[in-house]
Amino acid sequence: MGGLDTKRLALVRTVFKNDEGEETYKHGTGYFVTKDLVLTAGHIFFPAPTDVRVRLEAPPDGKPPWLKANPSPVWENQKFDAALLKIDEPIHEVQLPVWGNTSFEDNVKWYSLAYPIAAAEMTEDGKAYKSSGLEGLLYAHGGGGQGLQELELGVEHESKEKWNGISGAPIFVGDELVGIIKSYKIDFEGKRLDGAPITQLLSDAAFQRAIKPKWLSPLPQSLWTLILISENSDEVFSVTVKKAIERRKETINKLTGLPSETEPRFVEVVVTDALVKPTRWYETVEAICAAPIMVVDVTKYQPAVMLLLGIRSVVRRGLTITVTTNKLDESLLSELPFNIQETKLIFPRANLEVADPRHPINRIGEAVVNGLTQLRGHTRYLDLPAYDAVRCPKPQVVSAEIFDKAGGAKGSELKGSVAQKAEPERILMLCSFNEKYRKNWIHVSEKITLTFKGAGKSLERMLDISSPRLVGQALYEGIRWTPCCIIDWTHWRANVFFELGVRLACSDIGPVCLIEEQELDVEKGDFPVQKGHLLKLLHPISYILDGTLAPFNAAFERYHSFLKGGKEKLESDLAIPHNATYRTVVNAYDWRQEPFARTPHEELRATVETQQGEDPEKDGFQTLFSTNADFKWEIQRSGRERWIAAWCYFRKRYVPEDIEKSEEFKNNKELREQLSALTERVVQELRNQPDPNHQRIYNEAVELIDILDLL
Amino acid sequence: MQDLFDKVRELKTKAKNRRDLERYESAASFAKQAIQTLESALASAEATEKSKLADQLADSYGLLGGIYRRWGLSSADQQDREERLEESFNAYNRGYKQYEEREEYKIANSYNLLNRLVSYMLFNPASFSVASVTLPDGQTMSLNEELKKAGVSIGQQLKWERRGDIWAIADLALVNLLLDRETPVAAYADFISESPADYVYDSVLSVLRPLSALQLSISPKIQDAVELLEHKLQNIRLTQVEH
Repeated sequence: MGGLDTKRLALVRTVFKNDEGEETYKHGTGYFVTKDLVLTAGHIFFPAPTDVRVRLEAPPDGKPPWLKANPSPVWENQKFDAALLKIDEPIHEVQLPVWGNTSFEDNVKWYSLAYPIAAAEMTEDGKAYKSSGLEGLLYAHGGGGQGLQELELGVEHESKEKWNGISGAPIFVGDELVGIIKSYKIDFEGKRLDGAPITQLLSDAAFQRAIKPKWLSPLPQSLWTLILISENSDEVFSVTVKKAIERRKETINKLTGLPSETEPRFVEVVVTDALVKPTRWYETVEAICAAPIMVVDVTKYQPAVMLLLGIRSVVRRGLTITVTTNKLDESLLSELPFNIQETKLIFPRANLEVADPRHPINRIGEAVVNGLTQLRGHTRYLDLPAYDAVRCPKPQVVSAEIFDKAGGAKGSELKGSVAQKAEPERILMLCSFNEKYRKNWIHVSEKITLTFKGAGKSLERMLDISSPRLVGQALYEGIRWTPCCIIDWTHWRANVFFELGVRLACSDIGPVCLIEEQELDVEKGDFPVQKGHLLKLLHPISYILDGTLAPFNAAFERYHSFLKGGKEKLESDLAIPHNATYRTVVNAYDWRQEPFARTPHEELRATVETQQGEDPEKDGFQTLFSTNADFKWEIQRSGRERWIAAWCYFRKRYVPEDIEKSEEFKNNKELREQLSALTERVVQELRNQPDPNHQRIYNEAVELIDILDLL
Repeated sequence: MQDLFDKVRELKTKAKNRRDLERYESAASFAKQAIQTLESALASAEATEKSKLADQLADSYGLLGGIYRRWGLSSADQQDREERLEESFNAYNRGYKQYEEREEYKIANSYNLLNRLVSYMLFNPASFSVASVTLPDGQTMSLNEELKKAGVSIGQQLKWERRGDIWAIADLALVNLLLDRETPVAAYADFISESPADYVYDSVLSVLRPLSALQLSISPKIQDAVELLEHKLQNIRLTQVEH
């Protein structure tokens, strides 16, 4: 059943209080898309309401007409001027509206019901907002031009400047909800309205997530482990991981500062379940971003598992543990996929008792404990490749063409004058390097060169890139920075899917995916379920060896649609937009794991400890070559100056001038302890220093520790 | 657990600073707080954590022994001096017997092993030239033999767990000097070649200077070592100023 349901229409009122406590109001129109979510206009929430209420067009008998809502929308998008409002107590069960397509060949009739101020009446109780029917023509070819595509709506009854209150009203064409009203055009004397197309909202992963029932959430708040289970896995893997962590519960709790009795928490995701529909995919990506610990079953390097591992490698510095249930020997170890060759892969060995330290239960537990310890101690900790590489700035190179223009000038003369960003020069191709792929490469490279005009001067695989940098570094940098990235899924290689995951997670321009047609018959190979889901979710374009240019023209069109934004034609319940994974990561990324999130004094301290160790007087310097006397003095000097800088910063930033008189300071134990620790370090560093300025600072610090000792 | 080690490190820094400021009572108090914190944790620690806790305990007892030693040596009152030096020996001896020496903790160090002997020499200088002495804890030992044993132990540690460790190199130099095995220049050649930080020189000199003041047959050589190291330290400080 579609069409406008008046029982779902609501007047939305946002209340704002100024510093003097005076209240002002904004009104809009909303429409219940679920039993507790109201779709409405975004601007009525600006700047920040203190109270939000909605009034149903037809309140149920006996219920208060005004329903309380959360003042912060659960979803909003300023570009679309749309928001989803969550009410505290749900109304009756409602089904999602029938979402409409917003591309029309010809003008069509639209209609709505809204609360314009023009229809408001003054009553004894104040202003009463009455609903008012709207209808008109939706102009099929209007609303384009600069900026986002909008719906251009002609309206039969002009209201000049009294349209206020209609923002957020649903726009229906027949039975389908095609958008919401954003604003009216003053210069059309109130005869034209603008609408946000519903397809734009549906292409936003966060909108999809908000309106669909949750699958994994709510995720645990404190320490927890995400267990990623591969296709066809039995329960042994999951049980092993849980046992491993439960056995080390006390140590893990101590390491992470949790009460000793805290039980470990787990979230299990079977990879095939995660791919069933876009909303599950988004939830899985969010879980991957949030999970402090992730244990992944990489048995047989299944494509979807490698894809998710690629995403993980971009979003978390650690802790990620890769486990395979296959017994590996030296020859198999040497054949590991390139991307996980450097990871510490845990695998079972023959004839091992559970008591044996090499048993996976003990190895996983040990890896978790060691990883958590090292993650805390080493600011550059990594257990997967890509994390640091994708964070490098765009590489700068001098192209041959520019070098020629410079008349073959020497390098030093070129510096700073003709250096260019290299990436627009090329299209990056990620594909199999297997001998069997050779004929595909010949076909695909020829066709892409013919069709991808202007996307890059050359088509390059990793083998072809001339960068002298380490292969891994250049690869992940390229994956992030190259605008046009084409990924051929043919042969379903583990490396290719890991790299696909990296690209999806770190670029706002998704990859253009290709696959040879005969590989679409997933029943012929391994892991048919996940392959089937992946094909629906990421919809690669299929080509036939020695076939026509058509698929490559389609691929080029798709790439252009990525650049233009919002023009992909997708079935929102089956496929994800090209940059939806990236957008999900942007929102879910736990930036607190990054060193820059530390305060300057913490950062300075960390840089000293990285060079000198935590207790250099006891353990000696950890820095390589620090037996070189000059180098050692420089490390000491640098450390000394950093401690001074940290101390000065902390005092000026957080500590009141007269600490002896400040009750607030005296009562703030944490602040006192931090100041004390920094002051003591400065005293320790500056003892016996001959520089008069150091001596002055030393005396100042000693005076301070005397004061602190007395407080 | 990391928070506990952070706390202990801060207490030890406080103790060292007050020791350097010659506020010995306060310094000893902070060192004792560190010991108390660690001993409470050790009582309920898992097997994997015991070794690290014991290592910190040995270090903290060594710190306490050093504070008492400097406190005693700075005292003009003979009785007070002897009491502090005895406390110094007791702290080092406890750190050695209860932690550093214990096989179960696998601590490769000689902090307490050697310094308990040094403190005992300062407490009872005659012990250096007699075959056997009775210690405050009632046990008997030959100082000469204990120094030889210490030399063997430190030599072994330097081959393996403490390869390149400046403190071990300094300790072995001191043993060789006290046993009159090498000249001061030869004894401290490895130490100097490692380009130690200035605070390491300070620490080594704080042990040698009081020993050089004792009426021992080896004292003139110890005095030579003091002069050698003071000269090197002076050069370091001059270089630092130039930098």
